[in-house]
Amino acid sequence: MGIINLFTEIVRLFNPLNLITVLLAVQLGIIFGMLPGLTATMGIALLTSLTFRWATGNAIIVLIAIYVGAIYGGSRSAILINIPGTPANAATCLDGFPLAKSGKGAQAIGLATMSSFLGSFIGLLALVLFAPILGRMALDFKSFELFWLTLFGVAICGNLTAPTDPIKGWIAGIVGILLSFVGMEAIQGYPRFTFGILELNAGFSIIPVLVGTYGLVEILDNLTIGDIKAVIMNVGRVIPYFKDIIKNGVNIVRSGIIGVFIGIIPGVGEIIASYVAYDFAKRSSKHPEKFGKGSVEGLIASETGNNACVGGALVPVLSLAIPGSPPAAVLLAALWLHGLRPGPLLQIENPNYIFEFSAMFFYASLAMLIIGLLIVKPLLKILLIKNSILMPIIFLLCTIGTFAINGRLFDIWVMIIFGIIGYPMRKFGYPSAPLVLGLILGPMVDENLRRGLILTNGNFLPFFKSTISIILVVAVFLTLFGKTRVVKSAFGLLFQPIRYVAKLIKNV
Amino acid sequence: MNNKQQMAKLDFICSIIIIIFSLFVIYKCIIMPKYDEWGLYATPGMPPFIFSSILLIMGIILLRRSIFVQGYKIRVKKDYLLRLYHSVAVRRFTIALSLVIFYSFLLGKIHFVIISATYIFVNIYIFKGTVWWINFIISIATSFAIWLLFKVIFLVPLP
Repeated sequence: MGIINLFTEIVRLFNPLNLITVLLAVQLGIIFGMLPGLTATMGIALLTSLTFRWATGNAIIVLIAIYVGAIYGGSRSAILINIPGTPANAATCLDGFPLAKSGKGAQAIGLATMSSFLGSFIGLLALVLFAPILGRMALDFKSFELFWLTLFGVAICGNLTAPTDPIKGWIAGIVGILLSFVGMEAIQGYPRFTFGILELNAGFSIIPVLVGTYGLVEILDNLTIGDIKAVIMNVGRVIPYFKDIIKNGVNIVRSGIIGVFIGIIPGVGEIIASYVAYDFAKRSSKHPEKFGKGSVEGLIASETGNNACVGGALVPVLSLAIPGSPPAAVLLAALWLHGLRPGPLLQIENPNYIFEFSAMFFYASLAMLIIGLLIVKPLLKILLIKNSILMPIIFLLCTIGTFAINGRLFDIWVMIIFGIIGYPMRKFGYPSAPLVLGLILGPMVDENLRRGLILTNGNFLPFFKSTISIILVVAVFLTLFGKTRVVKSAFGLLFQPIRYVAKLIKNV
Repeated sequence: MNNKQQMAKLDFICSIIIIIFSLFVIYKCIIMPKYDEWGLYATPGMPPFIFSSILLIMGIILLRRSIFVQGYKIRVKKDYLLRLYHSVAVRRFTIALSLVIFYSFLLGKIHFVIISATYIFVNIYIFKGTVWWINFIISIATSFAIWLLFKVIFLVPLP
């Protein structure tokens, strides 16, 4: 049923204006992705402002195309100059650059393009199949379940984006939630933590926060590092050999599924997806010793994983209004700005929108494949632009993008403040993704907690009553305490009888 | 000083900042009005109180951890300060941030094209991006093109 609706929307959206728009937007996205220091998040945030006054359909198709193009585009600089264009392509450097050094740069780009397309296609299938199901399930979520779900989102994001020191991820997430409480709260209309500043009554707008945390931090970082002399490897025929794709069929499907599931987890994103897909490919490979030295399997895994994550990240955006990655967070903000209400109510108010959105994603993926294979060499000159020239121009665009949404200079200062906070956070090991996710989900946490308590006259028990709530409470508990010795020992004791029985059966 | 020791010192400083921040938020939550007709659980200060208390606990855990690895042993020596002052990275960061703040102060007070062209020119000049006349052309052309594209063609408001 979903696939039929998708085909209907694909046919409906097929017109010259949409095709030209999506081709140009994907090209722009590839440029954003290619240039180290520019990220998909920044690209979508800037274009959100530029397309603010456009018709909703045109605006959203541009933003999706930028997202898809940017995540793919970073593979080019990763392969040709060993610098990932976006963080999501860091794993691509490991095998892409060695392939380029051995004279197979064109082959690597072709394989990266094809893998990215196939990853996007798997993500598209996930979007069409899972988003409606999750959306319908979410209609059963009441305040209690939504509270635990948003808390779980922040906790798991903190866990996965700071794997060596999760407490820093959780601290970032809680700071994000606390910052979201700034402004007039929804139930009694009391202005919290505004300190008399009128502009703070509306709280922190998400676009300035995202541009500051992801955009300004990158700009300052790149200007601090200085200009890096890029030596671009030669590129020949880019169209990949079909046999290479067929040989890696299992790898592609596995990496795609990993990408999708990591994308669905709130706030985690493409970086983790590409590394996990790469890791699984290495473990399953017959030649793991080739990984890191120019393994085609490794390259395919990382690129399929990060692009599949795009589709996966959009599943919770449409069904739960929870972003699966930082770029998805900007896309969520853009949907709100254009008057759409992603989340459980989308199933009721606009049930066909998921398929219209998926059709846009389909066109973006197809455009990425076409442009990725056909236009390579002319774009490579862009990699030679120095940071000292590019970064001030990008800052200009960030300023315009931040100002344009609300027309307030105050938002530019918010961007700068979050850039100043974000820079040491990065250096001290505190990830930005939980901070941003906490800021987005904080109002949901606040409203659902208080609404739930108002409905139950202050009784906390209903928060632990329903099956979904219990599952989410256990998930939050395991996310926060799962790695502690006490919990590990408790689980060990719990599974002791099962292990004993399994051993008995094995010996018999 | 190795990376682990350095991180322990940074964790010590961060934990103190986190503890002070969370205590401040807790204080602010306690003095928020309580609406009797809604009940204590619905008071605006309740959710921030809960989360700032959790943050306080995490700050204490981080502090305790950093103390165990002697992160409190922070000595600001003169030669360290001198190294910091002469550090190219610190200078570049300070200059980049100062230019950003200065540009933002002047936005809205001077015409967008003039202030943006000046900002780009000064940036490229200080960070030695290219020769001065190419810099001049890039600055003017970029600022004008951005103004034209956003303000005139796409009707996006500019500061």
